[in-house]
Amino acid sequence: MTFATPLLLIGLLAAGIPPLLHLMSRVRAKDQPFPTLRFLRRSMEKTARRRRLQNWLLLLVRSLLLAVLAVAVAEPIVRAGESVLGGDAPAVTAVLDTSYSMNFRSSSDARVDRFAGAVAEVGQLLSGDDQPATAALLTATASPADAVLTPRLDELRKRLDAARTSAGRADLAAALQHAGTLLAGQTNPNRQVWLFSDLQKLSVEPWLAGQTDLGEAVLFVVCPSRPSADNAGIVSLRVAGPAVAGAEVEFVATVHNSSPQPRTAEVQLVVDGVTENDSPGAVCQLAPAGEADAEAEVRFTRRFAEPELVTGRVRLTRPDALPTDDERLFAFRVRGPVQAVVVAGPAETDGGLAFDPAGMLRLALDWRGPAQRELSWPIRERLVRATAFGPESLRDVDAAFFCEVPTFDAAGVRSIRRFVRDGGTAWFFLGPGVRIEEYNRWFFTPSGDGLLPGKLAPAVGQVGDLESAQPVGEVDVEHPLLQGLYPEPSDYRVVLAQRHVPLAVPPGSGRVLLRLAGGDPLLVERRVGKGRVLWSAVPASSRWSNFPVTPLLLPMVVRSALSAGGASVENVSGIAGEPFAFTPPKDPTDIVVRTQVTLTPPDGQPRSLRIGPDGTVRVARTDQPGFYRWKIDGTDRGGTFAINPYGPEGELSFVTRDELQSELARRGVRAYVGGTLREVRGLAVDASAGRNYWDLAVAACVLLLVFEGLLANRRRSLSHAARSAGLQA
Amino acid sequence: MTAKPYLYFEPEKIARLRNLNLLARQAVEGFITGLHRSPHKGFSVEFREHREYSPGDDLRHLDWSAWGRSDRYFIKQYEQETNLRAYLLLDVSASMGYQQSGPMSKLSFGCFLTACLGYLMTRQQDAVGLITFDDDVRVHLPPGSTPAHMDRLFKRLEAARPSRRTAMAPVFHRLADTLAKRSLVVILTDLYDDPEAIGRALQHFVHKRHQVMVLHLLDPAEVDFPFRDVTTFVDMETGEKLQIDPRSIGEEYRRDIAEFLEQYRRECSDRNIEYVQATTATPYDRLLLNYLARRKAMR
Repeated sequence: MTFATPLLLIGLLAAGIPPLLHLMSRVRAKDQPFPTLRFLRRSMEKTARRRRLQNWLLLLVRSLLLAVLAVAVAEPIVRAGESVLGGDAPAVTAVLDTSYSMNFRSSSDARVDRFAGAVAEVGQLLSGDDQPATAALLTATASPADAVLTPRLDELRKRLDAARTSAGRADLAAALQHAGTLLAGQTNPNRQVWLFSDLQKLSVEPWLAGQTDLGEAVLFVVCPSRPSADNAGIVSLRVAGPAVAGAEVEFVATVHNSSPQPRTAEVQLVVDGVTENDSPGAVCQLAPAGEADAEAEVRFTRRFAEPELVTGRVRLTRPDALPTDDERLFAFRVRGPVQAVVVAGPAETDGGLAFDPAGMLRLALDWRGPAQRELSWPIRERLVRATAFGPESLRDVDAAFFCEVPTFDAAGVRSIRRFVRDGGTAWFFLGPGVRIEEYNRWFFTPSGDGLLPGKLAPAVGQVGDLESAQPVGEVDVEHPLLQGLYPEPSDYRVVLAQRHVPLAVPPGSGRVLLRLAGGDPLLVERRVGKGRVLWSAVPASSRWSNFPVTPLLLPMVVRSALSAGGASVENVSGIAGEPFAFTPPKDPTDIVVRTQVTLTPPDGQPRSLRIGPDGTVRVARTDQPGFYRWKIDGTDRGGTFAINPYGPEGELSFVTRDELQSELARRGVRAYVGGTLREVRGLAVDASAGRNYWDLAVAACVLLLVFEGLLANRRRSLSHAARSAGLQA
Repeated sequence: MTAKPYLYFEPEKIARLRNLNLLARQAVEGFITGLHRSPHKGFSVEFREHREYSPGDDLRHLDWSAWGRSDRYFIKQYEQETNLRAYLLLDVSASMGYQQSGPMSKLSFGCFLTACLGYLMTRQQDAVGLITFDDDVRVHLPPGSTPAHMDRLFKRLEAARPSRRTAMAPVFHRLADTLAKRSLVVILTDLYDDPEAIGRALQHFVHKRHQVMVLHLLDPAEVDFPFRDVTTFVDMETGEKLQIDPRSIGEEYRRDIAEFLEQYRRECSDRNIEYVQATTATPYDRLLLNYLARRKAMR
């Protein structure tokens, strides 16, 4: 607030007159003889509180009246925007929203590229008569720490010309906070933060929810007008399943509708250029934005028969206003079939298949008969007799199943340990022929680094038609091997065991998947190195238990084999703008230590990256969505990963300019929000013109005068009324 | 222009009252030959002097022989007409010296009233005594009805000065015991004392078969409280000071003083005591005229 004639504010001193007179009247009261003070004293006591209140109120009103009068004659002028656009050239930080929602084009106004418009507006800000003394350019999707204030505006204009939208996540709050921090260190009193954004809720709400401090800077927001959004996009893609030739891979795409109208979205799965869109969920109906059914999941499944590098995309067939979110990429390598070996102890095949543990397992691992060999199946199995088992038996094997092997030799034990540590899965089925003490000797170590989690004890329980059996009392239904096999945990009680090998599992040494009602584990998993060991307290035949003939064991065996060797399709794509890490495979035959990979991003500009000590390569810059191809230098080994746009950015819901203005005003942020640079400047100029409030001040004076009169005369009129009443009496 | 012989005696005002006599409501003992009602009617009297007839005089007392001799009307007056003893008790405490809105102080006003009443009573042959008091009796002039007595009475009034604090209840009790029985006791005071104590003292007079009349004298400012500016009020009897913004307490003060006057009115009414409130703004001759007219109407 300023004053047209600030000298007249000296009249504020008049506000001190009433208190002064009050004090003086106390001192200069004349003496008046009176017959008795008895009634005066009594009246004073009765009216003391009211008099004090009225006196102070009257004093206050009179002082206020004089003060407001002084302010009125000085003509107060409120200039909200003063010093914003006037005076010295400002220090400016321009924050440009480079999120890909800025590429949104409405069908009714397809010529308008909002990002290009915003870039042009920033260009105007940095040039012309009103150009700043110093400026910085920040983008909402890049690290704001790189931006610095500079008086060389030409450089900024060049950077502006090179600015592009990013498919990554926008962080307006961080950019604005850094903009405020940059200006806080400036001596220039005229500090401005300019934000050029479409005010997408995704970006604005975290900013408003945080504690962004712009210091003394004034905020200007340029937000182009937006017609209603007509957009559907794929906000996420999940690829799950074993990346093994012959195994089924599932693709789950989440499609979101940002339109105010319902939409029909047609979704395609494209793999290596082959279109497959005949899946049942390929066409989905989406409710208008904001409703529960505005989002839907579309599922595709696909088997890949041969080992290969699989790249592809899930996409919307109909282009819309925002193409960036119309497809999601994936890339993963499908390996050859899982190699499994079944090591069989002395066979007792006279009881049929149900009493042939190796036969049961082999059937589970590859169910195809001679007639079905043409069909694709992800597991290859072979049988090795226990007597023939040696280190060579585990070469190129992913999963090994040991069926009642009585004992091992030292070389065999060493090969099993190495096999597990390197990532293999070993599953031991204990049974009648197993020598417990030999197992404890080879696989248990008191230090806890053996394959056994605890010591084995001699088998307990009797097998027979009249013998009792223990049901399963406890099931780890969350374990991937068991997940979904039975609908209810109580269903697992169909598993019964008459005899079993008690296995100690100290805390932390293993995970009990199935536990008998008596408390002994039935199936235990123990992680060792990169691999794992499974211990079954009963054989893979139905000699001691019905476990092998329930619908549990065979799926578990297949799952354990498919998941062996890390053959899953997790981590097949990353998000733009976020670091991505991958692990190049090692070749055991390669005697040279490889330390570099060459990465070729979608723009085709290769760059070298180092392989870290842990064997991973970290890619810090992933701004461009697309396929990134890499190759280990000096070899022909390489791979591909996909980078996708940040999915939620496709949800085109926005904060209106009025909403933002009122929210900023509520927080006490001095801000001007408009559709263009010119409009925002106009708002600031209007505000800086100010308004003379002398008329309101005079009106306040009159009101105070009336109030003072009423207050002061209240007692007089009461006195007069009392006198009149007395005379009438 | 002739100088007034006495400060508190204005013959021209008295002339307007002379045909109105103060009538006692209760019968008092003594000889009544004039206008007083008396249980001893018919008792012989002795002629004292003539007085010129004035309109309103009872024609029964016209001296027809004198008329025959001088062709003028004279009223016969008798020595034995003195049949009432009256005591005029005048408050001379410091508070009676207060004068603000009225033409004179309460004491002066009381003196005028006392002088008028004394003169009227002696004119109808009543014996009038004067007692001035504050916290004690200051002047005690026994009743008398001669001109010489009136001269003394007037001079004592002229010498009265307001000076000391009020403590009238013990004074009244003492006087009630010492004054001759069946007297008319007229008290002129501002009654600034404890109403209950004074009520008991007045009851003492009544108990001794005195007829009591209280003339409550006030300055108009004591009732209206017309003060506006912040003022330091000084108690006239104690010298105590109190600074006040009169506008802030005026309403409450007026309510209190009205309550105070009402309390005295009630106390006197309950004890069958004549009670008259008067401010110094009221012309005392009018006050007497109204009062005596009202008394006459009650006869």
